[in-house]
Amino acid sequence: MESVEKEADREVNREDNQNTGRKDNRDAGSDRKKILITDDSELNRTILINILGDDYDVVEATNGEEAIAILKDQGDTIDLLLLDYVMPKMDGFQVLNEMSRFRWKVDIPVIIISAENDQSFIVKAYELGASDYITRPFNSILVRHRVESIMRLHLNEKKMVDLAVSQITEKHQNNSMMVHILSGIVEFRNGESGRHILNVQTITEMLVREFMRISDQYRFSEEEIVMIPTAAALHDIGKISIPSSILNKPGALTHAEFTVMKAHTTEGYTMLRSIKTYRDKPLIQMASGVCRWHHERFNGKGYPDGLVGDDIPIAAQIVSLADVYDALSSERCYKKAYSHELTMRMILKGECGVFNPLLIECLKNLANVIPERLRDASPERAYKEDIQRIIENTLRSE
Amino acid sequence: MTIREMYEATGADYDDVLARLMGKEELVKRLVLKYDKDPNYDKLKNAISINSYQDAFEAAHTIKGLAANLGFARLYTASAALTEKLRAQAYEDLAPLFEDVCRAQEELLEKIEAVDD
Repeated sequence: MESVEKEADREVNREDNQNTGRKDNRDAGSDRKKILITDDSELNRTILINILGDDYDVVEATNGEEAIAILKDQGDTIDLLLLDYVMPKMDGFQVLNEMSRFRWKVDIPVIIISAENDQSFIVKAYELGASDYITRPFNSILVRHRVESIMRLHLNEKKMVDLAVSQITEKHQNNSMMVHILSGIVEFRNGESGRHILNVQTITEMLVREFMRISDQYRFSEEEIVMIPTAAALHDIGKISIPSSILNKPGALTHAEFTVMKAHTTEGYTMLRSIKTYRDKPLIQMASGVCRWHHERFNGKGYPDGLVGDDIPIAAQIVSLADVYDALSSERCYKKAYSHELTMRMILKGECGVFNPLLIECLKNLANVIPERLRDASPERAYKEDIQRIIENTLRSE
Repeated sequence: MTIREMYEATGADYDDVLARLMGKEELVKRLVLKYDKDPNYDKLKNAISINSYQDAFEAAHTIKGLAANLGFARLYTASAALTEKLRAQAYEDLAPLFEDVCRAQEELLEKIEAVDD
C-alpha cells in the first residue's frame, strides 16, 4: 500500500516536472531559437512553419532582399536561415554572397532548400558557405533533424571560439598588465609623460603592420605582431639602474654622464637575460634584443654595438623609430614637445640618425593617422581584436 | 472525396506524402486545400503569354518544388520538364510542355475541389 502511494507521488512529481519543464521552455523567450524562413512561395513557408513552428520562433521573408533587410535589422537574434534558391529580386546564392560580404555567415548558419537536385548546383551551394542542403520533396523529420544538428554544431563551434578567446585574452591581459606595471615604474622614475610606453607600443604596432603591407622581407605571425609591442614596452627597462641625477638632469649630459646613460641598453639586456626561467621564451629573447639595440642606427652610428643594417634585429629597428618619434613629439625634462610636423621633418632629414629606408617609408605612409591613433590609444585597446584574429587564423589554417 | 481518394485519383502516392508530413492527415489536407489559392500558376500563365521567360522560370520552378513537397506527381513531372526547358532557354518548343502543366494543374484543381471540407 505504502509503495503504491509512493509510486503515485512519484508519478505526480514527474508530471509536475514535465509541466514546469515545458512551461519554462515556452516562457524563456531567449532560449527559444529563431529561424528566418526565406521563400517566395507562401505555401512553402506554411509547410516549413508547420514542421518547425512548435520548436522554434519563425520569421518570414518573401525574397532575398527582404531576408537581407531582416538580417541587417535583427540578425543578432536569428539562429539559422532556411533559404530557397530560386526567388525573384535576389536569389539564394546572391543572399549567400551578401552575407559573406557582411561577414554574417560567421554568425548565422544557412541551409538551402530547393527543388534543384543537380549535383554541381549543390556543390556550389556548399562552396558559397551553406552549412547544408535540403532537396524537395523533403521529409519533415529530416528537416527537423538537419535544422537541429546544424544549430548545435554551429553553437558548439561558437562556444569553443568564445571560450578560447576569453581564456587567451585573460592570460594575455594578465601578462601585459604585469608588463605595464613594470614599464610604468621605469617610466615614473624617468619622469616621462606616462604615455611614452603606450605611444611607443602604438606606433610600433602600426609600423609592423605597415611594414608587412609594403614589403615581404619579413613575415610576422599574428603572435609576433602582438609580441613586438609587448617587447617594445620593456625597451627602457635598463634605466632602472641609471642614477636619477643623470636620468632627470634638465640640461645636456656631459660626456661621462652620457656614457653612463648609454649603458641602459646593455643593462636592460642583461637584466632580462639573467632571468634563467624565462630567458629562452620568445618574448624575453625579443625584448632583450629590443633593450640592447633600440639605439642602434642603420648606418652603424648607433650604440652600444654599432651594428649595421639588418644585423640590427627588425623588432629593435622598429622600436627605435617609434621611440624617436615619441621622444621628439613629447615633452621631456630636457626639451619641449615638438609638433607632429616638426617631428616628421626632423626624422626625415636624418637629424636623429639613419633608419631603415623601408621603415621611413612606413612612417611616411602612416604620418596622417599617427597623431589621431596616439590620442585614441588605451592600454586595453584592441587586445580582443588581436586575439580574435589569431584564433580565426588558426582555425582557418587547419 | 477524402484526401486519400483525391491523391489516388491523380495517380499519386498518398502514403508517401503523409509520411513526409509527420503522418498528420489534417496538415496534408490543410496544405492541399490551400494550393488552389497559390498564385504561381497564374504567374506562369501570364509570364508565358507575354514571353517573360525569367518570370516563367521562377514560377515553374516554384510549382515544381510545391508539387514535389505535396506529392502532386503529374504536376511535378510536367513542371520539372518545363523548368528545364526554360532554364536551357529552349523557348521555341515550350508550348507542348506548358500545355502538360496546364492539364496537370486543371486536373488537380478539379480533384481538390471535390475533396470534402
